[in-house]
Amino acid sequence: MSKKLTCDILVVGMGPGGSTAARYAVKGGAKVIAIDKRAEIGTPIQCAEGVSESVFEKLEIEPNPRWISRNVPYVRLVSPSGHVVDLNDERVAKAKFGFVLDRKVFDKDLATFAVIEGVELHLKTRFVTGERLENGMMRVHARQFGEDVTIDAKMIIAADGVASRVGPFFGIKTFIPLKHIESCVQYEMTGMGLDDAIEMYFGKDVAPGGYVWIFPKSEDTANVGIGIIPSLTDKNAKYYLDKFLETPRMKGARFVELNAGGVPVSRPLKETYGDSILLVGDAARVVNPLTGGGITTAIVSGKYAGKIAAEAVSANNFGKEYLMRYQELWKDDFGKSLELFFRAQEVLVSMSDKELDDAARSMLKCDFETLNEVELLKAVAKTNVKLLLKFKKFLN
Amino acid sequence: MNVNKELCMLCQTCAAVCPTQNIEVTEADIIISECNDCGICARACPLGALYE
Ligand SMILES: Cc1cc2nc3c(=O)[nH]c(=O)nc-3n(C[C@H](O)[C@H](O)[C@H](O)COP(=O)(O)OP(=O)(O)OC[C@H]3O[C@@H](n4cnc5c(N)ncnc54)[C@H](O)[C@@H]3O)c2cc1C
Ligand code: SF4
Ligand code: SF4
Repeated sequence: MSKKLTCDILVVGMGPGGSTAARYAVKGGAKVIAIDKRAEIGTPIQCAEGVSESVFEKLEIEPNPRWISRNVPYVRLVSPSGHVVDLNDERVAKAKFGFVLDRKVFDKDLATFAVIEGVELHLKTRFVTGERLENGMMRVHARQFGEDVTIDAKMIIAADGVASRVGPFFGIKTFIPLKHIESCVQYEMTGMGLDDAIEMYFGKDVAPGGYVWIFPKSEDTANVGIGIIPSLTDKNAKYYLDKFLETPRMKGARFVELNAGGVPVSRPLKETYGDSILLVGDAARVVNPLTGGGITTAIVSGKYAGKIAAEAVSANNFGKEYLMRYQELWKDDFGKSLELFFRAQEVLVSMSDKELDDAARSMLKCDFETLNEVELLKAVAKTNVKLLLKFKKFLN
Repeated sequence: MNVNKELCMLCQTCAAVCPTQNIEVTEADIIISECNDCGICARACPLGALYE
């Protein structure tokens, strides 16, 4: 007979979204089981690891210096024909980008916090299929160390990332259209010389629909990666990144690690909830489509999902109408900015190399108060009619 | 759709874009079932590991 487990709330996937959801659900008094197909949370990384400082406030945990690889004060944007815009303290009054994390440590610590609070974590346990039982319970069939395991839960939090399989089994379509995914590869590299900046390189021949990034991780190593929109080109991400390595900027660079992944750059799912189910993080497509940053939004959506799921257990109400409050909460928190970034991303993708060069030149003439994306967009929008039209509703 | 496992890094990008969710990426393998050869996943793969 296969192994059987039961709980109030089952969390599938222990990335930053799932670990945060599980922690808040157990703090809310529920019996929580979490599963992840990995043997070790956080490894391998599939991420450039950049975050702004606000992520630590959202976690409601004292930040640990071990999570931070390097403090990176400013951003450098490089346009197709090489205009360099340094958004440093000469141009930005309160220049402060944030940090490059060490996600192998960070993700694992977030999972550890959840376990300390009382979450029962099962590693190397992969969600395979799911079904709704007649009595309203959610049944999940998983594989654990080569054996079948059945988990019955009153509700499920799907935090299984960009290729979520949990959603579809319970009636929520999660697949991502080709024009709304950034196809990414990344090399950790050393030896190419680094400034105190996050570097981003744009252009149709550099990274169609995306950008090349250099995120410094230590004195002399950095995440060097690329995201492209596959519907815009016949070539793959690795082709473009390898081409970038030929440029003078990358002289002397040597490999330390390789990884790959996909980031959703669409609007969030219309419904990130259903009867007895909530979706968080990449699975819900709550990602900043302009930058591809999804760590903070995964954590914040995870926090609300965990709280609402625990309340649903107390109220013994798992209906869609009750769970809708989850979506209201994350929307109030960051819904409006995701919509703005989505529109900005649509414009960015449609801009010619010449328009990108013009935007860079006009940014060089501006002074900024902060490095907030909205403020930067406002300044660029003033010089670009397409952007102005797209943002009319948001900028005033 | 076929996969060159010497190139594949199990990154799941293909699985995220398959309209009929035919690709499952486990901790150690990639499994393609019931594929209708629409070709979408091959375009999304960052490493060019998928071929018809
Ligand atoms: C190349 C790249 C660079 C990026 N750079 C940045 C950046 O600089 N800053 C930023 O903020 N964001 C970045 N992102 C995005 C960020 O990595 C994600 O948005 C974030 O990890 C989402 O968190 P999550 O918890 O939703 O999902 P994930 O972190 O993807 O976690 C999902 C978890 O679910 C598990 N899982 C999946 N399927 C199953 C299954 N069937 N059964 C059991 N477990 C399962 C996985 O093992 C994993 O642990 C980047 C992404 C990529 C690909
Ligand atoms: S997208 Fe390519 S590298 Fe990633 S899992 Fe699919 S086949 Fe493998
Ligand atoms: S070819 Fe189309 S149907 Fe087949 S696995 Fe790829 S995306 Fe799915």
